Amino acid sequence: MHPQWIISAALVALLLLVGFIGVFNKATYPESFKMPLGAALRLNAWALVAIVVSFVARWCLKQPDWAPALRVLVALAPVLPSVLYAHGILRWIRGLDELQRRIQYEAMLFATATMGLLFMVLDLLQSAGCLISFRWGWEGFFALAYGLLLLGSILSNRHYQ
Amino acid sequence: MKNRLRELRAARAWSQADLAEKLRVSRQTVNALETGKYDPSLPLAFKIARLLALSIEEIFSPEED
Repeated sequence: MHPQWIISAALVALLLLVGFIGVFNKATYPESFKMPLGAALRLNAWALVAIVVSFVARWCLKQPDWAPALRVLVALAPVLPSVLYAHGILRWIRGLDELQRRIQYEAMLFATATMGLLFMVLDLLQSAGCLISFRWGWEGFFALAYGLLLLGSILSNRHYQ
Repeated sequence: MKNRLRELRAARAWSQADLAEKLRVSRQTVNALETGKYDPSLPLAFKIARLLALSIEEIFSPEED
């Protein structure tokens, strides 16, 4: 098995673990906003579709004789479910009450700022030759963003408890 | 901003959950309002005032008052 696949599978497992801990953790979403399993699955369904499509697309792209246009189409196949997932998350945030919405926006700000700083540090270390170059892939980027979002939610929730 | 939300809620024998349900917000929001950790938006302040049949100034006041 290719190491990239193992890393991707590990990141997806981490993403699912972090996601489920986040959805059912009182620190992330207090009792009154705890999400039933069905709602959590509905909210995250497009993310799961995007992950599955991504794995299928990577496997399909190993066919060297495909036309470039078809390769582009297959390579970008995970984008649509990802956009639908982002749309679902935004709709969910809009449906929250004003404090919960503020908590989610603060968490987003935390995740964005932390990711920016993290990538800055990694890039500086890689440029200096202190760190081997690593391809994150979109799953890695997504898992990291999601993890930081949940961490931001926990921190922000604690502030208002 | 200071508020008298806890006192006014207690006078009506409402729990935080009761008030949250009447305002259609989470219990965490009511708790954060009562502890002064969160200041409500203007629409929510009006909603609280209407529910308690008081003016906004009778419930909320600036910190320096």
